[in-house]
Amino acid sequence: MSQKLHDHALQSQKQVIDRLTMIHKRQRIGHAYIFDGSNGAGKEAVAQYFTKLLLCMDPKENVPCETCNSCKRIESGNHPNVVLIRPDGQDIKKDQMSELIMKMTKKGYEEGRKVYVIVNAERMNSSAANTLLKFLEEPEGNVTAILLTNSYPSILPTIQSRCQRISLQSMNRQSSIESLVEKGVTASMASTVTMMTANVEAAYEMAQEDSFVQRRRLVLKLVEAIEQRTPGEALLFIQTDWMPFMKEKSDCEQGLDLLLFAYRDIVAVKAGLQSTISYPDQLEVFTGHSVKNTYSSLTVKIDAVLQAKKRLHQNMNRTLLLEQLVLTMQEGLLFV
Amino acid sequence: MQFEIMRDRLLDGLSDVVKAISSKVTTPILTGIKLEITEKGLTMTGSDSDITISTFIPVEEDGTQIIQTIQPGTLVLQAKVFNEIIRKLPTNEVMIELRDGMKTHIRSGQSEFHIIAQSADEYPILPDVKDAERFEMPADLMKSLIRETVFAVSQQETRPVLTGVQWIMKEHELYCIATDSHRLARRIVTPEIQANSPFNAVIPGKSLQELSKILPDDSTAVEIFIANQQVLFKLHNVLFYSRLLEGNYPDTSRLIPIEYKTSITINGRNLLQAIDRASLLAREDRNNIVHFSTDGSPHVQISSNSPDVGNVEELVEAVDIEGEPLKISFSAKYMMDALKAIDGQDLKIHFTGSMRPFILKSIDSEAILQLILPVRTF
Repeated sequence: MSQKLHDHALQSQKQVIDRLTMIHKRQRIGHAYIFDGSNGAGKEAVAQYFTKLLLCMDPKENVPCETCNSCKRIESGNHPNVVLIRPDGQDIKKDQMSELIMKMTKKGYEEGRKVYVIVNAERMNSSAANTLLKFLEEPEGNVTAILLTNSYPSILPTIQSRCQRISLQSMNRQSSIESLVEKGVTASMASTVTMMTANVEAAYEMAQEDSFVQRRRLVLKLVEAIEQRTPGEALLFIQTDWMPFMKEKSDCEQGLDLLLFAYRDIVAVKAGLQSTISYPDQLEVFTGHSVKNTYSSLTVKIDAVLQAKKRLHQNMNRTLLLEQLVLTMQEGLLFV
Repeated sequence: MQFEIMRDRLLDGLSDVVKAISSKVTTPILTGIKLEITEKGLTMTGSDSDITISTFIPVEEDGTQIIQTIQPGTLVLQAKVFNEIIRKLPTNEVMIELRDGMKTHIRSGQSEFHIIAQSADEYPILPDVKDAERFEMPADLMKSLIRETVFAVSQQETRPVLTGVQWIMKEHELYCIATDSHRLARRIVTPEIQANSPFNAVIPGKSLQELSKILPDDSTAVEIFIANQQVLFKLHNVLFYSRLLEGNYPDTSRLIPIEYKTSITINGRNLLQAIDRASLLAREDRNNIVHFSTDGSPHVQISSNSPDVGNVEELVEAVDIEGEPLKISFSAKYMMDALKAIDGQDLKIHFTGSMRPFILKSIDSEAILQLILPVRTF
């Protein structure tokens, strides 16, 4: 994460930082925390801040000094008492977890607390999670665990119950939109990118990307094609227009997210909740679609997109995946 | 910083330090070696975060100048690259110099390397040791006490504290205890120089095995310092640090029986060979179990039965048998490990019934004790 994004993340999480400061001030440091927050909320930045606070040699008024040897080494990932693990491939495996526990059951290399950070903790596979559970339950010595996740419910309830939960706020979307508009992003684009990420800096960068603008346009066309109810056209659209712009898995995921938000808008319009819309420029078109669709047919479509997202992670052939998606979305209409 | 050093001496020092360096470390700085040059000499440090090995090369030894033109300073160099470079340099004089920030020049004869160094501030800080926790014993004694205990540590990570050997000072005696909850090895030594304060530390078995590799086979004194986080073994110019294990070691003193129903004195080597033979068939079986029985005659019978392969019986002559007749079964592997640790001579085995743990001791000393839990078969 660049320094700028990092600082920004810390500023936007003022409440969480205040809470961590209080924890430090009272010296009531728990043995396990879960930081949960949406993508871009700055979980890693906050975890690093907390680690520094716990290990800083000279914290001033419960704020790490950022200049001592400990703080610097945490910044560069060289502090011997801090261990950070990330998913190795798809998930966090049992071997990684046993290795971590072996490290943590030894006394710290240096005096003081030991800290371990598990990034994407929701991706621990079940044997890894159970291995960790035993260690979380009865930690030996001065250890603090920090689990980071963007999906609190996917963490084993037994792990949840052993950790203190600290929720990172998502930025107030309205104020993010305003700050983006100030920077010269169009209002409709600002509404879309703030749905994609909670971090204003990242959202701004996304709005500047040509490929993202292109993808947004494609998704709106796809919605049109699906709603016209002529099966051939939507399939053709996938082949000719969609695939050339969605070469990578991450592109495709972004595309599916955009599609999901579009249908979310249609449902919102139908229900009369206009304030949260992600494509304000499409309001009229979406109003038209919302009249033609029943709630149940919209549910079928949204379900289909969610299914497709899941299959994308299972590495299904992407062309087939999208064709199947389009067909389900259109056929769904015929049956209901 | 800057200094000139004899290449062969530098290589000697490096050969110990690189033993501690692992390619699997997660902390980037630990792929490097820390070099620290002062007016007194050069210290090199390598670590894999569990163990740390430091070597010291003095400026002058036995009247020969080893290091010259010193400007004090520290830096960290990539271990693999540095080691290879020094190994292949053309002449015996090596000049190492840090210039313009982090650029290191290594010069020998006509060849010159420019290496990017890392800042020594990033390197982990080794613990301060105090003389209060210091004691001393000869290297060969240390080596044998490691050999006699470390095999019994647990290989499973379910109870991490059992993967270490407990070192505890009680009434001027050092007890070294290892157990995996099926067997236990205990060695008692009286160090020549005592620590002022009592201590109780658990040292990882793996670290002791590594230490054993660098200990010489003579009676050079090894100084031992036990600090809060780490233990330091100091021999001549090499320092070996290991992290300690966290947690409380179980109280093992109550496990060791004091009253015996059957006591057997027997030649250890003969028994070891007999068990080894019996285990040839037992090994095929999953548990590697041999049976041991006495029936009032001056022999003990060792037997093993593996339904698929066959069976074996052997009589071993005992020096002396006291107490009740006995039938007991145990793991051949554990028994052989224990007999090897007691090494050779006549030894005593004390039993308290076929369902209770039994102990093996050397006939003339209380120093070594091996305890094994039997297996229920009869």
